Amino acid sequence: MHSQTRGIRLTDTDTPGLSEYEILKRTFDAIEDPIFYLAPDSTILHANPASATLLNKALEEIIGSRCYQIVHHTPANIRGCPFIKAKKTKKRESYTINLGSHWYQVAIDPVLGDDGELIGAVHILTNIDSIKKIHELRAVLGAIIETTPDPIISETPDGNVLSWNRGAEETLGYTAEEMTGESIERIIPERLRQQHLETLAKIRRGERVERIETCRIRKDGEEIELSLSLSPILDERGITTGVAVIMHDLTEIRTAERALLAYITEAALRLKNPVEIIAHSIEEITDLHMKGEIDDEELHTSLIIQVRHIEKVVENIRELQQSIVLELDEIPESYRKFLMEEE
Amino acid sequence: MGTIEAEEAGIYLYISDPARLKQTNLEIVTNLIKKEYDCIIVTTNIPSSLLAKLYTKNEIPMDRIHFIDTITKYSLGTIPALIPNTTFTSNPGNLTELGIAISEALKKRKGDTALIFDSISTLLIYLSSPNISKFIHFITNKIRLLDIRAVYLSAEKGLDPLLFTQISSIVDEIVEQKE
Repeated sequence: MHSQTRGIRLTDTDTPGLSEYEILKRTFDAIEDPIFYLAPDSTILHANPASATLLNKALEEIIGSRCYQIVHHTPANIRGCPFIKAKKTKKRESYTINLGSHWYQVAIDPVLGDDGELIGAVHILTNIDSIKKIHELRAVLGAIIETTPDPIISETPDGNVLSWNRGAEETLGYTAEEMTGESIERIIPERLRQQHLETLAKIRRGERVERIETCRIRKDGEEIELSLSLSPILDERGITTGVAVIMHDLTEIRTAERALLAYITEAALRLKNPVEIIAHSIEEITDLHMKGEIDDEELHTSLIIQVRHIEKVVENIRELQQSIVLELDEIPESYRKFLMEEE
Repeated sequence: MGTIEAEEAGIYLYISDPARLKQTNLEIVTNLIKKEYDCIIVTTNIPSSLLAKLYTKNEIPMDRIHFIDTITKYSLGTIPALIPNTTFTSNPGNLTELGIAISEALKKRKGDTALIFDSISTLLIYLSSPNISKFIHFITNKIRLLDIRAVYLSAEKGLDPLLFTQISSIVDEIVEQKE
């Protein structure tokens, strides 16, 4: 190896017992990443033991073979081969490749002769399975974030928008372009801004923030009810570098709750209270009759009045059922059927 | 009953225990009669014949009472013959007929008069809250112009919160009748 590699001249050293060549050879062999040294015609001149493990072949079988034959199993250099590129650029070229069940980042560093011409290239393969998995996971998470109908926003610790998903665009009306880099206060009603600042301060201090139900302003000015889940975005040192906000639009839930409340109130008025009045009236009438204060005919008249009340109450309940079936889209089909059968 | 004893004309909402509605009616009428008021009683639950008997028993002079009975004709299909000072309407839910009956009764008043409406909560069996609210507004305005008294009776918890708020805003006072 008496050639120049990136300006380093390899010479014998004074290392007792081992020549510089031997040290470099042993270093080459000790590296756990597969390394190949290729001649300009793609012949593998050197390969370390990790290469043999990677290709599941003996070093003797690898050395002397053409890279494309033994690695890619093709009769010629693959299309877009980075080694071909490196021959032209004389700079590092890299690409990712799947070998077996693993992903590798391949870096090709050209080795130049004294005249600056390429005399070979070092190929270093780095296993990037973990990075690839992280990227894949990030891609999946990114897709989830992007496709979920819930608004998901990230902010700087002081409240400037870093990201704004499609759910946020649809729910709040602003595009990601309009909001990225802007203060989140743009969508917070003035009366709630202090509350938001306090929440951000809590997150910066590392305190847990419970899910909160609050209001935000849409681009069209309409105020909507949302539940917010805020959590810190931590860097490798555990420092808060941002805040992730997941929102859930409560408009539909609130509408259903209000409809339910209206129904319960209406049912109470149309059923419970009238029945209570009727019950008391009947009690009173029978009591008066027993005391002889009203005669049989009066008792009869009074009871008929209460029967009419009851008939009207039943009619009211039927009308209420009908209005539910016809007007409320939110009720489950099984209940709708039940109410219709009851009619 | 202190509120009813007040000298000036006023409009009241009486909230009564459902079991005491009839007794409350009797107490209000007795008190007003003592104060020399003629009473127009709108009844939606107790037939006027029965109320008349109750008043007579309690020595209330019946020539000072005018009934607007919304329930007897509706329930029985007919009305008793020869009932003095009583207007029968066909249905508690017919507010036009009821409005006319009240107007006619008010025209006939001679001296100080009070209108007693017994009860709004029973009327809720026949009408929606918004319709009752509009009707109460209409009657109250009429009463204020004529400078007479009115008492709206209701069973406790017999009004939904919105109707209660609306009626509360137009009456002079709310009286909660306790046992």
